[in-house]
Amino acid sequence: MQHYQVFTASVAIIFFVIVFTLIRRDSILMGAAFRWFIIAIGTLILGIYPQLSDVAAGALGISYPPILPITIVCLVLMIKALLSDIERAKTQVKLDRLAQQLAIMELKLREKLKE
Amino acid sequence: MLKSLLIIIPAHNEADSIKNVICNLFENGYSNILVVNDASSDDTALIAEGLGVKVMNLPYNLGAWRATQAGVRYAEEQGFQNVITFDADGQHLGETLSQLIKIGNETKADIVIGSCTQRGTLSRHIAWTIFRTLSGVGVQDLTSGLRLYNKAAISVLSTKGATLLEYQDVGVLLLLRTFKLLKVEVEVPMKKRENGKSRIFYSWGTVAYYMAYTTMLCISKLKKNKQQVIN
Repeated sequence: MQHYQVFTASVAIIFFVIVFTLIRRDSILMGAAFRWFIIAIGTLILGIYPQLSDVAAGALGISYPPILPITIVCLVLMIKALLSDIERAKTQVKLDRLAQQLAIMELKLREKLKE
Repeated sequence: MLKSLLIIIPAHNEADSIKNVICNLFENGYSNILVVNDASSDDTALIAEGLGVKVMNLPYNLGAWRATQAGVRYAEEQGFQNVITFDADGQHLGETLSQLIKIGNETKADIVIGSCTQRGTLSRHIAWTIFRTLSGVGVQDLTSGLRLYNKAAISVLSTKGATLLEYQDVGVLLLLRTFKLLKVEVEVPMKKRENGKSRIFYSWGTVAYYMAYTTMLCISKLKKNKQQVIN
């Protein structure tokens, strides 16, 4: 075991424990929890065996192996941010339509009371 | 006069002008008025209620278009055949509504836009020309809030897809074009704003945002069809 592996493995283990605890406490929605669980396992494996990225980079013809996991992580994070924005748009529309509906109902109720 | 017509006035802090606007409509024989109070912090709602018109109170600020849409959805639920959207800042004149209604009846158009191309500064005219070309909606006054919608337009504007929009201008027109609704434009006189500023042309920052947003909207909605909106 290389000296730096102690550091990468510790970071990965801490991350895994945090994700696992949050899932255990039901702090994350089920679908998202599963995605985070997969990511945590991936991080754990790569943290304990950082040499894996050297092998993968060699196979892909990348001369600077550390950039491979960083690129993948950036891509995953960007997709995640995009998905969050889509989710937020949907939630906002739902909320705004609910607000409109509430105002409509309130107006109707007042009209009914007046009659 | 049209059968079952509702006039929708979205209002956000328009206490200074709302009374004149409503009275002007009364004088012209329109009494079916709905003021959509977009979470005003002043007496807009109280003044409107005092004049005996319908007032809908939104729980939080939704912005001019979504406030208007709340009124449109109410009109749809209540089975109104036509709605007219009317600004609360005193720009629009009650006298011009008969023109809109007449043109609507004659042409059987789904949307009649009351436009006033004389208003606005040079920069606004440049913006209009750009968006007219980009969007291809073929409307002279893109930002006019004075519009008559019929039943078909009301049901399109009540959809979820329309809730995503920010302004009642190019986006709404693009949506209506997607649904192949017929629109006509009629030149009407308008007054200068009594007070307050345009929500779109408020500061250089908002103008820049509006320009960028609308450009993106025009490009992204090219050749969109009905099915894509419904899904």
